[in-house]
Amino acid sequence: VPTIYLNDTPIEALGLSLAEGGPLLGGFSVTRATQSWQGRAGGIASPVGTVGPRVVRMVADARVASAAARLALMDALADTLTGLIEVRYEDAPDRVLRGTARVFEAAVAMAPSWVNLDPRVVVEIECPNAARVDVEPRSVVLGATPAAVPVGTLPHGGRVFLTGAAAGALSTETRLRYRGVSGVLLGELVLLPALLAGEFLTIDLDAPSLVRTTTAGVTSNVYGWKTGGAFFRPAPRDGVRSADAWGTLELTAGAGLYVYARQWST
Amino acid sequence: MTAPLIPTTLDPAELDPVSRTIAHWRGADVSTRLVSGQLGTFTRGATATLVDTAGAAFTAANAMPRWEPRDWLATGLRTHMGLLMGTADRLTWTADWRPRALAFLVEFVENGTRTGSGTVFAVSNAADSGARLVLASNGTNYGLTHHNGTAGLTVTLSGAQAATNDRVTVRGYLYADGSVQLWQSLNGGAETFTARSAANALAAAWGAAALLRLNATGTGAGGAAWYRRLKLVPGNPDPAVVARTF
Repeated sequence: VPTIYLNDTPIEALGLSLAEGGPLLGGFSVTRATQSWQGRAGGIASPVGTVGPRVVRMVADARVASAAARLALMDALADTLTGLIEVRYEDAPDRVLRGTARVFEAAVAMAPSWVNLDPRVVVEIECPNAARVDVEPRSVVLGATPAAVPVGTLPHGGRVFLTGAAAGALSTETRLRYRGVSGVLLGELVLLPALLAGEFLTIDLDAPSLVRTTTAGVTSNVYGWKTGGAFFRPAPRDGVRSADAWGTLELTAGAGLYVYARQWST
Repeated sequence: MTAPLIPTTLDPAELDPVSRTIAHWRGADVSTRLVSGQLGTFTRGATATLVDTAGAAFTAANAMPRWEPRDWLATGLRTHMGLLMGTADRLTWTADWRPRALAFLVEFVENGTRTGSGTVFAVSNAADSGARLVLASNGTNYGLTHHNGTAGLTVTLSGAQAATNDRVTVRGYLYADGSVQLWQSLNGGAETFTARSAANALAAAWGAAALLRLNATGTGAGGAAWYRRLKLVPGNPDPAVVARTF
């Protein structure tokens, strides 16, 4: 049974058997500084918390028939642990962590290593984004009517592809509005685009950036089209998961397609 | 009120994934970029429609790829993201690699009746001349053609035929001797396959200025399909290895 996938490859296919460090079930640890004041019982919490990179740790055993086979296994692992690695767990295969290997150790239980062949392998992968991200993104069509945006357990960015109505021209002030489940306005991006018919604007809420694409596919930076407001991120605190009620996005002009991947602490 | 936690960017900017394929494109990346980082070129000369996760319609501008979620696992939900392409949609990447033994895997949903020139993917130049590799429908079944610039041969599946909205997985081999073979699975069912063709020596290079093309050859009309994955892997490894090669 596969346990952990490294770049789509189950570690079992590499010849490893997981011993420790199985699926991560919990969220991550948040560090939040507090300041003690004289005469106060307790402390004053910082407005922002901090989460370090997620470290995926696994300990696995291998059975090998020869020292040469062990060396081949180590080489295959070293190849797999190169560059940015996608890590998925069998119990949540639709969420992915991305990181780089910082520890790759292998040792035998008892020396000498040419007599006791079977290695125990320790791998640690450090993921700068501590969140687990949906493998498959979602999309929401945006217009004048507020459209619900389901969220993971962490805020996410994503991209809005903006056009005029039916991919026509768009040159009027356009506001991208984000509201909480109660309808209160939580975020707004004010744009004054100059899109010709057949062109589209990519609003990247992660970067953040504004990029125009012409009918010929030529792209250009049009950050100057932003005339007010600020980039924002839909967040889980703005919805009610148990009621499947979420924050919403709407446009005051034009039409949009919002494509995003939910992010999870678990 | 405390501020919400903001995840950092998805990838550290200074590091990229290391792909062990010739080309690996995934619709779930919502990008024309291959896993290796190579950026594709998408073209379409007109607007076209798509639907979102909830099934709401949207009109995409001319040069906008139609990222559309589909029910790839037959669960009744639009859970998997892919690229919807019509006969006017083109997506290409440079193909600087030489003809060689390779395996390929392509996953898609048929979105209309295939015609005699309904290409799934190809390595070919703008004139479809010289050495080329083409997976296309003959209007009924998928066939794989390897042409070395002098002579060509084709293997064609028989039996079960893909229909509109069928989930299709096609895999195949170009062997070192230039022969080809093809497998097909419809809607997760058992595979049907062709016999291995005769040999047809590999050319030293693909036709001049050849590109890796999704949904079309250089000259023919495109197919009408929703694409989820295209992967070309060096050598002729078994299907399990092809599936897990990143």
